Amino acid sequence: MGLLTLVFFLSRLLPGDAGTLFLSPTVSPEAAERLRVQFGLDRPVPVQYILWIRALLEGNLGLSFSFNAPVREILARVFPNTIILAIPALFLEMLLAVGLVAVAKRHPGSTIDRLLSRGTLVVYALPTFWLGFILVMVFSYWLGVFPSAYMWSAGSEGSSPVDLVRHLVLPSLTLAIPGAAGLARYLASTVGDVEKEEYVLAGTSMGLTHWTVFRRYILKNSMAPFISFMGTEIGGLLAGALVTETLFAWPGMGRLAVMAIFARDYPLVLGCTLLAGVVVIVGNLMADILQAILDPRVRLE
Amino acid sequence: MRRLIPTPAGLGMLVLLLALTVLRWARVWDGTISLCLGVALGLTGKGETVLPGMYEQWIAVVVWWFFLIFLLFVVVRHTSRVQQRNNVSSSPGLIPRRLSSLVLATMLFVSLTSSLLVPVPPNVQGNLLNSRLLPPLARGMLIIDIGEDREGDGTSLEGRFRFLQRKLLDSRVVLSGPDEKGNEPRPGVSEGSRNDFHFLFGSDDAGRDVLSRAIAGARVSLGIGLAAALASLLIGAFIGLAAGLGGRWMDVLLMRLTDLALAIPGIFVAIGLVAFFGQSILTLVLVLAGLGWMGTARIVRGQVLVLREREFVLAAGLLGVPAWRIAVRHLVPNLLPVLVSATVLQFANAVLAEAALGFLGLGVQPPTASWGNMMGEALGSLQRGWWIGLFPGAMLASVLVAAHSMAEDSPGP
Repeated sequence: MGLLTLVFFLSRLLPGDAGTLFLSPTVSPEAAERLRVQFGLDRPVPVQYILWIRALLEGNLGLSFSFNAPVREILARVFPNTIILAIPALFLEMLLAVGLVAVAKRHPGSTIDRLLSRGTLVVYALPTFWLGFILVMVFSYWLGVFPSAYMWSAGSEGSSPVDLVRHLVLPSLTLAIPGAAGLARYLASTVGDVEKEEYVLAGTSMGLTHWTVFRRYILKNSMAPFISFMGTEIGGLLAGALVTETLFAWPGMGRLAVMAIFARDYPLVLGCTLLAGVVVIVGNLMADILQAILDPRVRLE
Repeated sequence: MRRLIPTPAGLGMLVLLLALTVLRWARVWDGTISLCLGVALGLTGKGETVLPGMYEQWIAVVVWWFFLIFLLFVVVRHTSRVQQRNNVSSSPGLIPRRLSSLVLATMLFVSLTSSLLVPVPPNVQGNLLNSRLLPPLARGMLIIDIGEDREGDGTSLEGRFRFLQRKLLDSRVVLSGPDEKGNEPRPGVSEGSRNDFHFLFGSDDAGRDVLSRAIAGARVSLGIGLAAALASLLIGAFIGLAAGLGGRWMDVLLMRLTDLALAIPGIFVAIGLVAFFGQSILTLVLVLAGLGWMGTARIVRGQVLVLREREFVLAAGLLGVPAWRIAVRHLVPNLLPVLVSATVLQFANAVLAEAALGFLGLGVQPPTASWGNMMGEALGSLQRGWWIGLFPGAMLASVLVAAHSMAEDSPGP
């Protein structure tokens, strides 16, 4: 609710209203006025706010000025593309993180462990777009393995999944790598605590292999903080999508938000920000629920 | 460490510094440039032209000097203290502490003295026929527009020309004079050109020198990052202290506010704000600070809650010392290590966010160079020129990595 209010008033406070902004000077003042009335921009701001909230509750996000279509439809068309990008990135991130930590913690304190813990710090700090930049340079211009932009090859939209996957590789890697490094650091510190527990020692002394101990004892007990971190990571993915989608010309929500801002399309900007906020909140909620399912201690509280 | 800011005088100095830095940022920069010009001219003996803006120059000198001293002092004392406490043995990893602080200090120095270090002024374009998209180390032609004489007194034009002459190895720069027909050049506008300029890092799509732009971009990017980090330090420390000391309701209220601010998808709001309020440097700083203070506030509150149960704080309270004085004299000095690491981290975040905004075309507007908008421009000619984005990105990455590893080595909350 706070988010709604903030977003609404910020966008209304801003200079120029949409009616004047998207009409060209050749349009007569009467026509412009009619349009403002049509969009409800002539009412007092509090009334606009209440109307907006009411419409929102009915699932109506208003009309986009620049696309001349309901915001909901545009978002519904574009959001799946972001999901297509984000879900593989999320899985890739988890996979990379768990894999790295498994390798590093095979011999805690070894050279590999130290190297990885420092290496992940470096990778974590790298800017997403620079990483994407290098990936594009190496893999699509020098090696020519993967395409550098768009979701489908020209002329074959929606035809073959292989094409989509080839287009997906670089953006999802760009999105996943810095996140994976952060996740690996976090997981490594949890694992570092867990592996000092006595049940781990007990498992090891029972003669279980390193991998079994890691999987059954250490990883399972490190899961709770891991999952809550994933919840916050969804927000990070969205922010990363903004840049990544622009870089790879991926037709998703991030690119839409940037375009909407350049077009001063307030309803669309509001819609994007709201959707992003909702996704972040849902992500956190899901993480909490998952944690409660996995960890009985959380449920009892 | 304890003697650093415990006194009101020290705190006052910090506030003054901050006010100067944030409010008069442009002026400080103007002063810095004009100072550097003056130094350059004086050193080469090319002219005794007194550049305008002596006042700004002095502000610049004082601000930068204080700031560097402050930074160095904090960092050095801080690290040595941490080393003492940990008996030095805290994992000397891939990036040693000294290296990361060296990288940061170097980049800050580059950003301070950028107008001295650039081979050519960053917006000077090469000959568009043969100097566009030159690979690193290639040679090309530069055409230099010295600009208009805005002050109308001829001094600034003269100074700028002499500066350019020196930068481009004097004699080969030709100031366009009256042409063959005897027409005077346009009043107040002058041009010079040089045929065999070495583009060390290559040139971009408009024939500008990437190295010069990357150096000039350091000033913009790091300046914004620093100002935003300091501003969010102030906000965060204030809110954290108020929440920790202000009683239960204040605490609940402020922490709910912080949680709310944390729940907002920051970058989305930031691009909205920046796009609507205009992309001035001040706006960027305020927006980045407004979206970055929460971490500091939380850490400070947590520390204050621990510290306020300690004997020396209780004793001060019993002696009737007012709360603000307890905060300033007893709490802030003890919070300093935490504050430093939070601020360094915040600095990295702000620099990254500024770069991301610039990359999207919403940050500092071209032709002013910042690392972010250079990367954004490089995207358009990625296929033809990999060097345009690589070098500014590498500088950005080195700053971020250094800042992160420095914050990492400091004690956390």
